[in-house]
Amino acid sequence: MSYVVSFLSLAIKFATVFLFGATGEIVNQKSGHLNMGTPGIMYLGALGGIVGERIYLSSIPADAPLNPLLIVFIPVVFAIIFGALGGAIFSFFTVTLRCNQNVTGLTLTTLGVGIACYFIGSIDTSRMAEAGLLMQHAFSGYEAAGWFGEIFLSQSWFTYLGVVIAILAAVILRYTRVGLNLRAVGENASAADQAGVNVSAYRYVATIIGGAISGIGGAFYELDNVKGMFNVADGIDAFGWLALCIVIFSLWRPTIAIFASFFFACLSVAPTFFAPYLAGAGYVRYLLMMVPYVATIIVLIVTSVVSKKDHAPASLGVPYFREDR
Amino acid sequence: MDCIQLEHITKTFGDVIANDDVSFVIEKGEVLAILGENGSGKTTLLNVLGGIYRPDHGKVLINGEEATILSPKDAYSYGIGMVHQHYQLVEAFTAIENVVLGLSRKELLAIYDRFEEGQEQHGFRWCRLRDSAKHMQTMCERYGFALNPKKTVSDMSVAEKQTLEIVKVLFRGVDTLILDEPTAVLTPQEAAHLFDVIRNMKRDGKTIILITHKLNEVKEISDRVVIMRKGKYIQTIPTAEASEKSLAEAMVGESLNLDIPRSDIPTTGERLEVRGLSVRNREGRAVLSDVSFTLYGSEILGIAGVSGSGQRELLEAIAGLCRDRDGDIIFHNPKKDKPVTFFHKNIKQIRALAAEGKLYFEGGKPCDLRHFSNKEIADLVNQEKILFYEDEIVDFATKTPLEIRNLGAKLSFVPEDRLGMGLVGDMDLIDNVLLRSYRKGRGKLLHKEKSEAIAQEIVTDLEVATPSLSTPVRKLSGGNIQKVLVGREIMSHPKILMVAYPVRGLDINASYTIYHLIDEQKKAGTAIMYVGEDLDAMLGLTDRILVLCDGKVTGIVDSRAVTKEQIGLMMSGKTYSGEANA
Repeated sequence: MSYVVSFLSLAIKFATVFLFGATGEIVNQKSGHLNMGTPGIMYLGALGGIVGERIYLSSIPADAPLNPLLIVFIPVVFAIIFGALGGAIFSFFTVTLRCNQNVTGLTLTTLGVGIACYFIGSIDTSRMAEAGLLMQHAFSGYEAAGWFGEIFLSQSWFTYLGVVIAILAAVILRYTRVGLNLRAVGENASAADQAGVNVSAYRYVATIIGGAISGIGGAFYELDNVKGMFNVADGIDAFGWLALCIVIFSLWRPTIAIFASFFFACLSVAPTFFAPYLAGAGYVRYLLMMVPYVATIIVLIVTSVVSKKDHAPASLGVPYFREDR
Repeated sequence: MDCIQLEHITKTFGDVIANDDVSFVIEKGEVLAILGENGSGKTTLLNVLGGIYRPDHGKVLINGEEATILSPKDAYSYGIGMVHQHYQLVEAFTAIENVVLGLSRKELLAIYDRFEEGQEQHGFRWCRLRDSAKHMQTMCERYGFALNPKKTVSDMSVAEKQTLEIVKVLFRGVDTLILDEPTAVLTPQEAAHLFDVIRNMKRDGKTIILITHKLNEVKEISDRVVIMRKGKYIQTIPTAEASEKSLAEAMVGESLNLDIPRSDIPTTGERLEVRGLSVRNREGRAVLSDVSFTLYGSEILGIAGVSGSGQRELLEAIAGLCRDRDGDIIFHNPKKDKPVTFFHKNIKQIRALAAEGKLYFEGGKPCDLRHFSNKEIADLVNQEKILFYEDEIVDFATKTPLEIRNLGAKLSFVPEDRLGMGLVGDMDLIDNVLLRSYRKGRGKLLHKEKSEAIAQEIVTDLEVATPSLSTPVRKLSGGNIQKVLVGREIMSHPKILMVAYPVRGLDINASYTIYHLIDEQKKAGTAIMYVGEDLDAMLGLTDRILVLCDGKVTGIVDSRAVTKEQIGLMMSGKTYSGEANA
């Protein structure tokens, strides 16, 4: 029983990284931007988070107690700024300079990984581990609620923030005029333009906001999941790529993405979590680590076979220029 | 004075001058037709007014004051709305979502004020979708539109989509509507309904600008006609003072011969025999029942019928594209006295044919191949020394669509959405031609030279306006796209040519070029089946007409002896007793 509880609790942690990535990417894609730079943007967010935390840690006396809210808030703000910057770079290239979205996205990923890895290694990590432990749990005394508390109330602020953002994104996309206009830009940019929607502005803003959301995911991974114990950042891009798959799996709906992220997180966590309990798991572990990716392929096949209609925004990946027709 | 003045509008795209110093006046409350051939710059010009393009030179004056129209939104603010030929709708949205798209709360409330005139407003005002839908319904009732606000666009028919486009524009309270080729994809009945709508709107005080190249529409609906040619403004004529012929000549710039060619030549033997053909669609419903006819070489057989009577299924069944069918489709391959080739037959098949006594040697000796080696046979075939006694009888039921194509039965279907079927928009002319023939190349590599020659032939013969052969087809205008689509099939010199709607949306000159091409093919001995919408053209072009009603043949008549009215009656199900002799 305790295995299951700690497994689920860990899975939710991982799911949070996925959820930020996927929600950000959904906001991107709803505007028609197939942003394959998401893994890179998550790296930039991670860098932002660490920079933010370093700035906070350096600004207080070396032995002062850490503020449990500021230790989350400041890195989040920096992650948002860094992630938004990534989104802005993407939009500048694809909207203003009309570059190919796929190439821009992949380049942005390479850039984000490169920049983040270069700087992260040189950042002073003193007190980071302490900060990492401090931001583990949003509420103290969650143990009182038994297994429910262990699983659902033991998470950090990031997790609850992720769920709120996903639900907020879903509501805005589905029920507001802004959401309607944004979806129209992604479905048929030319029709949206005719109707008076500023296509470029919507694409810029959606991509910047999407980048900001993805960025928080990267920061969370570095600061909380790795508990600030990074020498080099690694593995965030894997989350980014899987987030792209989650977008497809969740049919471009942030609310479904919450559950899809959890599902993928279970697949990702299971091999490493259960490997110690398996006999001769030395190398089997590496085979098990492939499971999420194999599952991704199977899931994508099943989704495309089962779903009758194509849920992707119709002009996903298509650039728009009014006089070009 | 209430009017829109276009002054010295010039718009260029690279080296192409789309509009060259165009000036004219649009009066309030009139129906103004802009008449011109494909590529004469009509759409570009009105796109300037609609805020899509910015002119290089010139200005637009609205009520005497210079107007800055930088976007469609600006155009709306001047009360100008445009319905494009390619509908600007979000397929995944419902009707009402498309209507309110891009409107802010403030703009929506201003629109509501128009609908709720005289009603007192108090408290918070909602502008939910259902409030907009209510107002949209009111407006639909006023103009006589039938449109469900909750219906998704992808489920709509072409006519419904067009209605939605008009509703979308009217909802925003425009008083000048630009309709770009509105009847291009409508059936005659739908077009008639659209004209009623235009009359309603005119009565309501709206100004309507109609971009078209159809003379009968201009005569029927417009008050004045602006004629454009090659990007230039030619003249404005009050419609009442013009005849179709004078309009056509002003549009083309030369005197025109509007006679459809029909060469009276003898037929050259049976080419296709269809006996008791029945076809069921995917839901298992019969769409063709018991269709029988014979098609001859050097003959054009017209297929008439209200749209959806089974014309498409008939052609598709012959081309092998419908598998769920009964009945025989027998092809008489014109092989008599022609040499055997390795194109369709291998050595084994040639030996079998010889054993059946179907082949002879050049000079008349019966062909007995039992004592020849494969090498010797191959040499004889390559020297074209072995000939057929008779036409080859082929049962299409046993053949795949590809084999049927290779046997020389070609289908050219121009769909409502010309790019949706048949051409790949992002590929250039040569590659689109190559799509039909790449299998013939030797080895694994593509052979572009031949396709390039055919593409050049299409461009030259059909006067396709394209910067070069390597321009993506998507960038050509609609009429030019179609010339490529139809030209590709016709130029492949088939034995049976099936053309459906080849002149759909084409201008006069291009239509006549197509008619001439079809007639040329007939002279070359091709058996042709022609499906078209324009009955006058069909009567002029074809030799016989087969009329379909609900998938049943209501008669096969001689085009020279039948009237349009008789065909019309047969299309509505009355059978005609006088069968035609071929």
